[in-house]
Formats: sequence, structure tokens, C-alpha cells
Amino acid sequence: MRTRDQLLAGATLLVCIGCASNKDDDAKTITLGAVVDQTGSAGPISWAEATKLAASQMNEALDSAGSNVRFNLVVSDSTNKPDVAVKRARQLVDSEGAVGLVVDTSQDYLEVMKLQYDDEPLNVPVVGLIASSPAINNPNVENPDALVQKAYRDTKEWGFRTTISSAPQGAVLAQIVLDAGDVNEDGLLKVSVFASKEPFGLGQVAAFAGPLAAEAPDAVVEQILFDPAEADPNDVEFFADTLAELVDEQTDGEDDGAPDILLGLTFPDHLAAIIKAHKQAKSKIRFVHGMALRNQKILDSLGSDANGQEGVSFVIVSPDASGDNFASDMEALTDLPPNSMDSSSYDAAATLMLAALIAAQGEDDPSTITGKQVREAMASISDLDGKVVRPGVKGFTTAVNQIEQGKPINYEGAQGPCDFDEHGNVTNDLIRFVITKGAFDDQEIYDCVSSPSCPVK
Amino acid sequence: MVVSRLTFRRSRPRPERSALVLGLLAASGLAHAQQVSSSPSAAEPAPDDSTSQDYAGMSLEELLNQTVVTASGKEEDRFLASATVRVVTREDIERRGYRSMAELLGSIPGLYVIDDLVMPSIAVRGVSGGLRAGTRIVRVMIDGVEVNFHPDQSAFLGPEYIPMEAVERVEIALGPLSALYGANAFLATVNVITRSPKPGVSAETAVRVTRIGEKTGVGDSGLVSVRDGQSSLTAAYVLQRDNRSGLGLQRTFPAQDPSASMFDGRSKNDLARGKGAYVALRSGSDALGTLSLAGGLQQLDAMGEFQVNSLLTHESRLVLRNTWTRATWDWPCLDSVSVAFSAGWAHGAPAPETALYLTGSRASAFVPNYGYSALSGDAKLDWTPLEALSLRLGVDAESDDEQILYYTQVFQQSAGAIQAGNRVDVGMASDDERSVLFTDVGAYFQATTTPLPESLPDLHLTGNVRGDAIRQGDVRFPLQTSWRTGIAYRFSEALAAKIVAGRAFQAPSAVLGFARPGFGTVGNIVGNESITPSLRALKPQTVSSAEASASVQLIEVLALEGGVYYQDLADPIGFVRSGANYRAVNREGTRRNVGVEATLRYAQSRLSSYVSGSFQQALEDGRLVSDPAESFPNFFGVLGADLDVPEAYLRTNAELRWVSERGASRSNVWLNNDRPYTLPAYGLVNLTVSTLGVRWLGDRTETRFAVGARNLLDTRYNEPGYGGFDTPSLGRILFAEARLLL
Repeated sequence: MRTRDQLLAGATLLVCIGCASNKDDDAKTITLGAVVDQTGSAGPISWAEATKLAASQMNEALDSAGSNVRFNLVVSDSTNKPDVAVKRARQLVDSEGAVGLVVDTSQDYLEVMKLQYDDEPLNVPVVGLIASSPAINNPNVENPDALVQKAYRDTKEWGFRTTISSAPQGAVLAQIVLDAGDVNEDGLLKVSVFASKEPFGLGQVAAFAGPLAAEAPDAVVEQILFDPAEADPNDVEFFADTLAELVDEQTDGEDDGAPDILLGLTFPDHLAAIIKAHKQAKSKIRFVHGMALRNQKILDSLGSDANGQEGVSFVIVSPDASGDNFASDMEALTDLPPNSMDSSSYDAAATLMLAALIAAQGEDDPSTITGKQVREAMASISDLDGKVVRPGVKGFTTAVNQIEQGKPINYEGAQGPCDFDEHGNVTNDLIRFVITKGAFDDQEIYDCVSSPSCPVK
Repeated sequence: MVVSRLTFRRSRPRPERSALVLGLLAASGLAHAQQVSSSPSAAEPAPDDSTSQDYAGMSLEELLNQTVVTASGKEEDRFLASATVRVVTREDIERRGYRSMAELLGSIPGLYVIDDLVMPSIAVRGVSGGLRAGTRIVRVMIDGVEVNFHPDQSAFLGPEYIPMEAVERVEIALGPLSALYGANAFLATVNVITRSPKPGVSAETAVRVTRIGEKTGVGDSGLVSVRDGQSSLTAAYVLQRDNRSGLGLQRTFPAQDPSASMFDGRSKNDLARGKGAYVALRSGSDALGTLSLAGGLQQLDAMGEFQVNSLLTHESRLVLRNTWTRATWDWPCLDSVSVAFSAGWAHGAPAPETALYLTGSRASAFVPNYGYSALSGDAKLDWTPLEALSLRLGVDAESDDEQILYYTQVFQQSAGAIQAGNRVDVGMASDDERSVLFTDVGAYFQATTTPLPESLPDLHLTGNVRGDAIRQGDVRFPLQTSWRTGIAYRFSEALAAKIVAGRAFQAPSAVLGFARPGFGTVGNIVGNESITPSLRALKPQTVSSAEASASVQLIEVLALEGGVYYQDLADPIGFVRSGANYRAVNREGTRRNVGVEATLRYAQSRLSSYVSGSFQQALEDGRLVSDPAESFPNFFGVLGADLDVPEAYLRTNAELRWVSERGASRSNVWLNNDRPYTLPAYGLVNLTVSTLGVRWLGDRTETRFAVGARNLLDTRYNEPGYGGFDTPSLGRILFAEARLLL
């Protein structure tokens, strides 16, 4: 059985040192980059660890298949700050020679994608691991900023993401609100939403508000938006005041009664701060959250204060053998079950590597492949006629052998099928959960892979 | 009083010079054989060494013949003891002006002390304790009694630990000693041996002024002792107030955010106000043995200007109080048998003044809730069935009620629905457990012998074995077994060698096992047992080590002592990130390292000089790794000289210390995109000048003055920190002290 330390050793030796290693003197190294939050308000460290796990397993598979190709995945901390993410993405491509990038949140993804339409485009595929804004990879999106619109629409097709957009999440949240109804029986359905004023938060708000308005046009949605770059999660006063504003009986200065339900649609650190304020204010109003609640940081930060909080997120792992493979490997690595979006992080790295191998097939020197070649191969990693390839060394070994023989592969990812549509989007299942006794307790799974209406499984 | 008939006889004449050359190959040496007719235990103070009143302190001969008690719990020749024991004498303390344990231990090759300006930590022989390490990999004792703040398993190493006036010497035993002391005598054991009063009444008091950078601090301390026959009383205190303000962070690794505002500020109001007291009462008779009662109060009080989440707040203050007391009865019931019983109580908790603030927020303060109340007892029997054989059998037990670390948020101003003054427990439900019972029951056996007293009277063997049953709440560890064996042989009066091997363990602390997060959203240590879903329980880490050392007196005035060691840590406790916090895990596999330690000492007339150093490297796959270990330098060296000028009533010490690069903390390496980095090497010059024998106020009263400088050249360097920054060191420290001895 693969032990945690074997995996750690693999990750360290093969990834960090760059696996241009000593075993194969003639190894051809393909460099990829990952700009993933490790210290900011979004990501737990496990996102970065999941990408490294994918790289170490792929290198192990390449070794066992006798290939002389190796991957050097350089992981850099985005800090979940767009300016930092842009700087580090540029450095990974220009200085490290990365021919593909994994990028984390919608706001970071957007800024990195803007580089593709700038004077000096990156010209490498960018795979978002939690780029969930419905505006991303949306050819019809409108935005007053021309560059932002270009980045969202991505007509050059550099952008991909391994998780579904937050649109279905919004629909499920709207249904939860509708099911709850007029809790305080004041004759008005009112929802107060706490959200970050950036693509991740605004995307979730839009995804929720549309379906709610369709079903309950008279419902009031009070939006308290904040700038995450300015709001320090440790600023107790700010979050206490914001909570007071959320639960008061006004909207835009007009008296309209207390909210029936609260929604939290922002990053984990800010979510933890507002939940803490909610707890300390002893508010009894139900608080439901978006995907960011499903994060180990929430449990670690809040302890027993997290009990009773509810949320909707993407599934932690795909409910099949692919998910099982990944979950057991990740648990061996970290001692914990996979965190939310760990599987998406893994898939982001895995899809880039598989595409790079496909692109390198037939090349005299695989290390010289370009970002454009990798981008063009992205669609081929999930050929429905190909042999199913699942996460893990065994699955990757199968993939390497298939690719070397020029045969198609169908990567069935850790979070979902990774079947990119023409815009680079995928579908995943959703899950509704409650935190009970310090742990996530899953309530329902919504099948968004089989149907856009996401029926309960 | 434990009586031992074991003797180590001076049986050989001094060898010819040519015979000494052999010893150089083995390394170095100090100790000489010495007759031991009665052996005070490790839990007993040493007779007051009034020779420190004289110039020149100890001669080389005396240094070579030091006796120690820590390695076996009984008095024995330092070099023949079954551990590598360094001794810092009262003479050293006075001459070098040591005012804290951190300062004293920082001069010992094989140890490395990092002061984060709240709670200094000790790394040993290439191994650090990791995040907020404190002294958790070292057992720190006063007269054989472990005294530390249990939740962190860390002794306060500032001036508050014990007034230096009460210290006769400090013994530092490097290597595992769990076989004698149980849990946490892991990589080293520090034993403060207190002074035993002289007959009659004596007293001393001192005042001092300290200048750190541009800030002035003051302190005072004193001791009163009374001895009448076999009864004595000692009481000592220390108060110290230093101001370390004016320090700022420097960029030390590439991935630090260059725009971060943390590099702009300077520490303010960074006070350290340590307080300590020590009292000992002893009474005895030949028939009934000795009854002693000792205890102390330690108050660590420091502003935390360079703590994670609380960086440069100028207001965060941690005040921890630790009290301990111990009653011991030593009874030599028969000529060859003696017994000893002791019982102790200790308690520690944050004081009400404690208030931690998050950087950038004054709306509320956080108070850590943790602490402990511990009862302990032990019984031991010493039996000397043969002149050349001494046996010890002992049992000990401890019951420690540990309050789990969690935080209470105290609102300083109204915010939203919260009123100023509200107190809210963070992350704790009303039905959450708030305390955990830790228990440890141990039994041990020790045999020391001179197996061939006629043919090889200078061959000395020691063997120990011990078992500990430990439970921490619902976690029950497998029986922890420890052992130690040693063989020492004195080839001649000038040459001796020994080999020691052993195994020790360290149990996880309450913080590592059970702490709750809540002080900010990042950087907390989260206890393994408080994480849901359940993780594999932390288990004790163990070390197995072997070392060989030798001592040789090269010529009348020159001696060399040194040794090599190999140590192998199994199940080493390390840290991984958990969300945005950290938790401890037992890493699989082992960590190995090897090292060399040596001291060359020259002493003639009024000049004594020494050079000592340590060099270590990790061993991976059979190859030496040149990269420095986390928070430990590969090379540490000290060059020093003591000079006496009796004509001017002066004695001096000058010391140059050189420290090679230290590896960054794992935490900061993570933040540096997994790229290891090191903190640059540095050198320090320390200088102390003090008077001796000035009796302006009459023959019965001596007045002493001392002035000194630490880091005379104001070298600026950084020590490994965590959470995204490294800790700045203090610059030049000047001090002046006046002391009256009655």
C-alpha cells in the first residue's frame, strides 16, 4: 500500500527537484506551472498538494512505462490576489518555461486570461481549478471593459476549467431559499447576501439571483458586497458591523423587515469571519453558504462555531472509481479526506499533463513542445472512444502506453468526467451539506453531469 | 542522602607524554578519576563552592575533575558518566555575566538557542522541535525536578526560570536520558544544581542596568540563605525589565510579498518583564535522613511583537505563571541501602494581564485558555550490594490535568450587536471537553559497576532500562521502553574514553494533541485530536543514539575533549499544514544525523582560554547532506578567554561565537514555494569585565561590579521564524551591575 511518506517523498523528489533527475540522464522535461493559493483567503494547502500529487504520479507512471519524458510542475502561491497571480503566472511562463498553467479562483483566472489578450500574450493553456464564475468561457458575456470581455469570452480558446460554473449552485441555493419561505412570517421573502465584490462572489450572486427572481419575483435580495482585498478576516469590527447590516430590518435604507435567510457567497477566510460574527451576535437567522464553506479552513478556523452551518458545493470527488482512487491517494498523502476542490486541482494538473504528452507524441524532443500544441491537445484527453484512464499511477501508466501507441484516451477525472465542451467547460455533480459535530455531513447529491437541471440523485 | 560505595580510584601514575598522543585520535578530554564516597542525587543541591570567591576560578585540573549528578542521578566523575555532560559552573556564570538560562545554554556546542523574544527554543544536535518549539525536545530540571510549562512542555528560559544567585552550576547532558528520567529527557537534559547555603547567614543583592539598542532596562535580584547544622533555608528572587523595541523585519526569502506592510514597522513597547523566585528548606539528621522542601514561581511576561497573527501590534502581551513545589525525603536506612521519596505539585496558566491582539485590529483581544495542574511522586531505592556494584530501582507517576488551549475573544469596543466587554469563547461549544487528563507511570532500573576492580579498576559500566505507561485522555500509547548503556575506561590519568548508547522518547504535548484554533484564521497549531474527522493519533517520537568520546590532557596546561555521535529519530514529530493552520504528525521513516563536538582548553596562571565547537550533518541514504537542518547550524564554534588581573581586582571574559547558516523553518519553506533557503552565518563578540574581592564596606562585605557587552559589534542577523517572516535578533546589549555580598 502506498504510504503517505512515499507519496510525500515522491512529490518532493520528483516535483520540487524537478525530476530532471538522475535516473534518466536523457530525460526530457516538460515544465508546467501552477499558480495556486496557499496563503490567501481561498485555498487550503491541499490544492497545491493535489497538483503535486498528480505530477508525482504521472512521473512515476512515465518511469514505469519506460518513457524518457518527465514533468516539472512548478507551484507558486497566488495568495488569491490577482496582481500576485499575474506576476507569478508571467514568471512561470517567461522564466521557468511553463507550457501550461493551473490557476485557482475566478478573479485570478480572469486576470491571467487578460494576459492572453494583451500585447505580450502568454500563449499557454490556462486551466482554472475553481474558476466558477458563469461569465468565464461564456461567448455571450457582456462587460464594459473590453479586455475583461475578451478574457471572459476567450475567443482564442486558451482557457479551460475542471469544475462546473456556479450557475447550478445558484439554482440549488435559490431552491433552498424558496423551500424555506417566509420564515419570520412578515409577508415578505427576503434574503440578505454577503458576497465579495469580485468575479467569484459576483458570479455566485448572479447565479442565485436569476433563478430566485424567476420563481419569486417579489422576493427581496439585499446584497452586502465587500472588497476582499480590503477586508482583513481578522477585522472583527468590520464583520460585526457587516453582520448587523445583514440582519437588520432595512434594505437600502428602507424598512422592509428582517431577512428570512442569509447567504454567504465569498472566500473561506471571509466566510469564517462572518460566521464568527453571526455566532457572536447570537443571530438565529439561518445562514446558508456557497462552495467556499466546504473547506477544511472553515472547520479549523471555527471549531464548534461551525456547527449548524449549511452549504452547497461541488462534489468532493466523483462518485465512481476515479473519485475513489484519488480520495485514497490524497488521504494517504495528507491524513485527511480530500478537501473541496482538491480533486479539481488534481484534474487541472492531470489534464494539462495528458495534453502535453499527446502534444509531444512524435516529437524528437518532447521538452520543446509549445503552449499552443498543448492547448490543441486538450480536447483529446477525453475522447469518448478512447480507453478510460483514471487518476493514479496505474491509470496514468495506461494513458502513457495508449498515447505512445497513438491510441485515444478518455480521462475520467477525480471530480468529474473532464469532458471539455467547445468553450473549455465541464460538468460536475453538486452536493448539499451541513456541518455537524465539526465535520461535513452530506445531505443530497445533485446530478449536474447527466442533466442541466441537476436533479437530486 | 544516597550512599554509594562505588569508587573510581586514581590507580595509575601520570603517563609519559608519548602515551598521550594516542588520545588525540579519539578527540579530547577533561575529567580525571576521583574518589566518590557519597553521592548526592540529582535532586540535591551542591555544597556552596566558595572558591568562586577567589581569583582564577577553577584550575584546569579542577575543571578536568568535575563531578556531575545528571547522567546517573548520583555524583560521579564527569568524564566517566554515561552521557556527554557539559558543565557551566558558578564561576562561569559570574565571570560571563549570564542572567538567563537562554544565555547560558546558548554557549553550549551541540545546542542552539533561538529567541523569538517571547519563549526561546532549543534545538539539539541538528534537530529542532519545529513550530513554537520551546524546550519540548529537552528536559529542563532544577535539582532533578522537571520544571516547565506543561501544555507546551517548555521551560521558560528567561531570567524568570530561576534567580542565577541560587545556581551553583548547570549540567547539560547531551543524548537520550529517558532511561533514567522518563518522557522528554529526549535529546538533552538540562539540570540546574542549586547552591547549598554556607554555615550562618549570608546574603547578596544586585541591581543592573541593561541597554538594548536605545532602550534601557533595569533589574534586581537577591538571595538570602541561612544554615545551622543540617538545617538550611535559601530564598532568592529576580526581577528583570528589558525593552527590546526598535526592531524591524527584514526580507529573508524571495517569495515574501515585497509590498507587504509588515516590513515597514518597528517594534514598540516591546517589554520583557520576567519575574522569578526560588525557595528551599532543608533539614535532616544522621538517623532520619534529609527532608527538603523546594519550590519556585516563574512568570514569563513578554510583549509578542514578532508572533504570527500578532505582528507588531505593540500591545500583545503574554504572561504565563508557573509554580512548582517538591518535597523530598532521603533516608540512608542501612549502610548499603538508602531510599528516597518525593512528591510534587505544579501549576501553570496565563495571568489575567495576558491579551493578544491580531495585527490590524484593536476591536478585541484574545486570551489563550490553557494551563495545567499536576501531581507527581516517586520512590527510589539505592542498594550497593558489592563495593563495585550499585543498583537503583525506582518508580514514579504523574497525573496532569491539562486544560485544552482555546481562545476567548474579549471585545474592547462595541461592534454590531456585540457590546464592549463581551467575552466569547472561540470555537468552543458548551459541551466541548475543556480539559484532558495526562498520566504517566514509569519504573526503571539502573546498575553501575566496576566489574573488574582488581585488574581493571578504571573500567566503568552503566546500564539502564525503563518502561513508561502513558495515557493522554482517550489516547493510550504503547508501553514506552527506554534504555541506556555506557562503558568508560580511564587509560591513564590523562586519557579516558567512553562509548554510550541509548534510546529515549518524547510524548506529544497537550498543545500538539488537543489545541483549538481561534487566534486569527491562520498560523495556529491545531491539536491532532481536535481535528474532525479523526486522524491517526500522535504517538511519541523516539531517538536511538550512540556516541564515542575521549578526553586527553595533552600537557600540563592543555586539554582536549571531544566525541562523535550518531542519532536516529523514529516517528519524528513534524508539522503539516491543516487548512491555513498547522498540525503535528509523526512522519514515517527516520531522520539520521551525525556530528562531532570538541573542546580544547588551555589554562595557565591568570589566563584560561578555550575553543569549542560542534559540526553536524544529516545522513540520507548513507550520504551526508550539507544543507543545514531546520533551525540549526551545521557548525557552531566558540573561542574564548578568561583573564584575571588580581592587582586591579578584575576578571574578564572575551568570547567570539561563530554560527554557520541555519535552515529555514519548514513553514517558511512552504511559503517560499517549497524552495529551501537558509539564514546567513554570523559572528558575535561578547565581553565581560567584573571585579572580585573589592571589600570597601569591610571584610565581611564584598562589592562587585560588572560591565559587559553582548554582540559588541552590533551584528544584525535573523533567526528562523515561521508564518512568512524570520525573527530579527537583538543588536548590541550593554549591561552594568552592582552587587553586594554579605
